[in-house]
Amino acid sequence: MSVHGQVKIRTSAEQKAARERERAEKLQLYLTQYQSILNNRYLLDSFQLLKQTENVLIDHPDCFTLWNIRRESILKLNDDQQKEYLEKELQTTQICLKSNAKSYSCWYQRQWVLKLLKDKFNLNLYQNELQLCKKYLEYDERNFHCWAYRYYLLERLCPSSSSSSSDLESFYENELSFLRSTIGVNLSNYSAWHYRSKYLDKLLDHNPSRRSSLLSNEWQLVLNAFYTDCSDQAAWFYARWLLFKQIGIEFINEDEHIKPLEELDNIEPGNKWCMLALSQLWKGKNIKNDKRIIYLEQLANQIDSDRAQFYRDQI
Amino acid sequence: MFEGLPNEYDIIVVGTGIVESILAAACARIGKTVLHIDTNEYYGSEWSSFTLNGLTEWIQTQENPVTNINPQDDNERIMPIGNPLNVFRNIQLKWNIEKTNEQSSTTENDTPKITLDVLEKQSRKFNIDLTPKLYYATGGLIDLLIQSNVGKYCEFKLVSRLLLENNGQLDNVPSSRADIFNSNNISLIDKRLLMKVIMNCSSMAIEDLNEDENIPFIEYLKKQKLNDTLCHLIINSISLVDYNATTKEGIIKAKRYLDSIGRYGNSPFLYPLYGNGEMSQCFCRLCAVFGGTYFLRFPLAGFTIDSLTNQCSGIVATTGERFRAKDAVICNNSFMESISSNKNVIHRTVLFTNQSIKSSEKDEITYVRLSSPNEFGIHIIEVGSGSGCIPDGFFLLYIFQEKPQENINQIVERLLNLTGDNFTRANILGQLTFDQVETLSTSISSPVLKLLLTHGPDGSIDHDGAVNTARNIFHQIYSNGEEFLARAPDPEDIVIEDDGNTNDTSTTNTNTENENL
Repeated sequence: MSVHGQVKIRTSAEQKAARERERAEKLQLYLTQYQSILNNRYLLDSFQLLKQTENVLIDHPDCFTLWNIRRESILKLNDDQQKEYLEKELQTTQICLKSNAKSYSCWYQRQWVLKLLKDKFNLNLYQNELQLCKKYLEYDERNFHCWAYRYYLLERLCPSSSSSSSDLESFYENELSFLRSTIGVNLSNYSAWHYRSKYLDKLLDHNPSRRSSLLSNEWQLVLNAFYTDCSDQAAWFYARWLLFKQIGIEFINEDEHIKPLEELDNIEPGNKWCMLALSQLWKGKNIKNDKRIIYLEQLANQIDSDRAQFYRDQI
Repeated sequence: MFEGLPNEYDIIVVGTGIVESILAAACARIGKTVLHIDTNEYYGSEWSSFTLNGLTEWIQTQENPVTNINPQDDNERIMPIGNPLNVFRNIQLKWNIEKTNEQSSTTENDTPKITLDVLEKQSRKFNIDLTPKLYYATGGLIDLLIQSNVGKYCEFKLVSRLLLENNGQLDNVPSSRADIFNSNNISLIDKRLLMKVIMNCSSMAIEDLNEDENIPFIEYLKKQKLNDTLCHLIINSISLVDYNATTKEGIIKAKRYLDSIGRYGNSPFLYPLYGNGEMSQCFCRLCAVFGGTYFLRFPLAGFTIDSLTNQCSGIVATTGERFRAKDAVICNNSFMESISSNKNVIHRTVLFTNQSIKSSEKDEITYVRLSSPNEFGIHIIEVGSGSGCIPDGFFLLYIFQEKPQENINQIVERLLNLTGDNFTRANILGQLTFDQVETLSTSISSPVLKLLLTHGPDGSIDHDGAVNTARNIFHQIYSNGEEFLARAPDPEDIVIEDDGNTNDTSTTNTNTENENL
């Protein structure tokens, strides 16, 4: 304990005041730096602008104008320097993403960089980017920016249609299996189900002979999902797409598709998703069932009256 | 021996077990002077964790003669301590490996066999719990660590793997939505029924049970249309109760388990890095930060009692030196003489192994609970090197029962049947067994006023009751609204302020200081 000093513990009011002071200082610094960059936009050279904007963006990654200035600066450079700085840009955005993993500007900047580097295609680069996506998805599996970026990467990495058919097929299957494990961690992951639908589509287009077995497995997966958690909408939305857009009404059969839903309905009466799905299936297959109208009315009047007209339209 | 040590305190705490340490910290926190002693040369009492060599020493030093002290005048009575070493009985350590490799140095074997001296060389990497416990993520102890900020003195790992007995092998316990979704062993309908019961247990209020409150939990679960396997899952692995538990007990415990999942990961339990011995130590650390005085290897003879008021006035060392406590003496009940006649024991076993009971790609901390309709729960905890408790390539397997029922050999046999070829008797390098007196359920009431007794652990897997015991004792001593372990300040909020004379010469300030003294 120092001879001169006394130990004091800040009260919560003092803590708050200290925090406010800190914030005000930070804000002042930001405004000064930002203004100075704008004033000197056409006076400084690319290198200086890139350095100055980087300092600000690391703490404030969502400043759209500053990213614009960076793009301008990089485009002014000659070819060799441009390539070097584009690759550096990936590092810069990575640091900025640490402040805000959902920054529109950062993710956009990365895509912009890859588009410009497209001609100098570098497989390692793309693999690194995929690893980055994986990491960010581990932090937050519902980061839709990251999902969209990942989709873009896979489009670029996808074997071309001229390469062997089995290459393409395993590419799609790898992705489907990654999506399956993501759903396994959290079955509410709407993004994962959504991209699953896209890849399933591609796989089915590519290899129509596997259609019935693929769709059957997919149906089992989605049944598993809503038997585990019948109130989770992600699985139900996917089911609706699967049944009506992929499998198609002619191929929906009672045993495989309708009976399990009827059983679920018995255990969980009043579940709006189940009731709606059944009503649509009974109508689609022309199954005469008094319950259909009763369900739709219950849904409209009591269970989900916010969407009453939607249900009434189906009667 | 006692030079410089003051003789008078507000509180004297005897024993460094968890309840005593929480109390020492709580009293120091509100500004009371605390003397915290232990007759051992290590912290933790029954909760200690030992290195491998430390364990051998502990086994050997189970002798401690009791000293008789005469009262100093007619107003004083001496109550000697019982032999605290009565707490642990029938200690046996048996190794299945050779001491050294010297005998077999010229064999054709490529890999040298593990020998005891190899393990002993890495003695410091062992932290063997005398009392292994797990901590519910939303339980009393973890909450207290967070609320008081004592948590910054210790680290935890998630108990990453929860297993149960299923069809002759060890399977993962499906308790979260993700587990159930991914399970291949449960039919669709059973998944729905199980999820329903789990969601219900989590969200219902106990009052809503009405008449169901007191019916056996197994009957209540059958009413929800669960089959035997799923009933067993809930009773044994989620509620962690016995088959004769009431529905009320079952649901309360299920809630605690389910609430704790997700707080730090996909499991409800935490395990302290470097073993359970750390828990007492971090509370002792807080006590010391707030001015508590520590004295290990204290030569304690007994307690001084004021004959007129029948109040405990303090403690006396074997040298005759006396230490007074103004407010109270807090003491672990294992120091009472009556402990020696206590028949309730917990049978504990520690197996040293070189293979996990169930193989995995990564380091795990595993908890298995075995039970059946006619027996009490058997707890098995396995820790690997990631826990900081054992060197790489080896594991500690703790086994103990809620209530002593089966003998250890039967339990090990049962476990070996479940682990198959992956883990066999050949993987068990050594076995430590001992009996620990169970002091929790033995309500020893204090024989004198101002001597408050705390207790050790019972045979259950958690020890959240310790917090309530500590809080109750605290309020018995300080009943005028004192706060129990208020949050300790964060370092950023501690400001060293000058007296305002920042530029003055030091001589002026020093003179002022001297005057104030």
